[in-house]
Amino acid sequence: MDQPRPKQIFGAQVNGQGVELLIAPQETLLEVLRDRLELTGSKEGCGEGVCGACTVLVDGQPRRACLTLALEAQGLSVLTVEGLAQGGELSREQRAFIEHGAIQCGYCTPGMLMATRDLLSREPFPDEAAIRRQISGHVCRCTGYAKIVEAVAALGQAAPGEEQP
Amino acid sequence: MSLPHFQYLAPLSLAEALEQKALWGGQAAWLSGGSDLLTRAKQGLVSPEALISLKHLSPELAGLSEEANHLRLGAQTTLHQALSLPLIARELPGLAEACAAIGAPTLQQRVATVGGNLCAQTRCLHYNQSALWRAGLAPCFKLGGEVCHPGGAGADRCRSTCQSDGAVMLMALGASVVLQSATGQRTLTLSDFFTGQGERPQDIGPDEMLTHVILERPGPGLGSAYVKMASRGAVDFPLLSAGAAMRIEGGLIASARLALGAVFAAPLLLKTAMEPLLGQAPTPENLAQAAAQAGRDAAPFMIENHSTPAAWRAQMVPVVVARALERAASRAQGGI
Repeated sequence: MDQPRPKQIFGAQVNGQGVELLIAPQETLLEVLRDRLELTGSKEGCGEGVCGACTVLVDGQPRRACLTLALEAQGLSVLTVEGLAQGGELSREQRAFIEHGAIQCGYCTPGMLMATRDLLSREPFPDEAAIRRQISGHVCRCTGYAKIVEAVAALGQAAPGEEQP
Repeated sequence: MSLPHFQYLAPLSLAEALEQKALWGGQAAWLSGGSDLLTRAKQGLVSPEALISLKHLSPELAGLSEEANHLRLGAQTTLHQALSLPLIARELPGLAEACAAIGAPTLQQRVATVGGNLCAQTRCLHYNQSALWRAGLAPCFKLGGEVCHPGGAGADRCRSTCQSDGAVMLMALGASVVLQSATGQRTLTLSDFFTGQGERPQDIGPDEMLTHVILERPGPGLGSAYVKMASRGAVDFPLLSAGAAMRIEGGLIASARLALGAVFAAPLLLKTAMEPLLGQAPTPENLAQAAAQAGRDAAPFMIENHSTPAAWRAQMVPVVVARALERAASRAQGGI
């Protein structure tokens, strides 16, 4: 018989809401988000941290949720793709992706959007090289990346005064 | 893909962490960025009873301090943090290139650490496969067995290779590491830290933590460069790489260190190939001769343990070495 395996309390702010759950220590942040909180926007592509589909922001920093233990995000704020839209309004990143046709099957899109949010928060007017470097860990099998780069570039060219939602 | 069960500990201080590790020994693993450890755990290559998270130790163990004649880089410094340190960007461009070559900006570089890169396990085309795939073959040396699949019938040891970009460049820079335990501290040069044995690539005890990397102060006249060959510009491990550090004084080469990645269980330091350069001018002919010699010296290490043919990789050694030496020499003379 295996020994009883104690669970641990996991608490965090997820998309601005406090959550508290009992989880097993080996549960990844992606498993907690998808299977327990039913936030299925973040995708599992490879499960090994090489495709970028599960990228979320933890305290503003991109983290591949499939290789992050949920307990490593204990007490921190987690932003997923579900948290981008505010008050029923899509975020500027989401609008740009739609306007530029940067979404086909959509599997990579949640990760791409979080990478975009991170890039623009540090570098509001990135050039194409910076955009391509930022999304270099995000695999897209549909778009050929060109439309995604265009969408991010358009955000960078927006009027400097425009507020982020 | 799910992780196997383990206990999770998150000590609040270095002293507490070292005490816990002393109790658990080899049954526990340090958890830092998790890029190597958690991937290996998912593949069934490692199954620790406990993970000891280092997340609370960053204030103690991240960042760079400049001391009288050396630099002290905390092992918990993430690659992203290392890349944003002005001193690294300005005086150690080879190290910046190596950190930027690891994984991808939004995936590994934000969480993976300089220390974790040095402690990453060696890799091999056969070993780094799923448990199901591996089940079809006898366990190899690295898995406690007595065969090396790429090594063939005559192989008497593991032939996995060090594919840590940072480790290769730090070896070229002559770095040392500080290993701390609850009872003491050791400082090892990377030549000693890396055992050269694929089965157990690093000399680090079950109660020890790699806490700092010690580097010589670069100063004027030192040039460094890291050149990596990989299938893609991001995410991939190197098929072959070269780190070079060269000091030029009065127009002549005063020191030259070259390490190769992805050919041997340790970053492969090629001393003999560099010796003829000492006291010579860094002319393209001299550097090309050294690169050709590096190719001959590395040839015996090339076996079919990567996703590209050994013959191609052998041909590429003089190419990556020449590029690394040329760039290091140019930087040593004030170029970029």
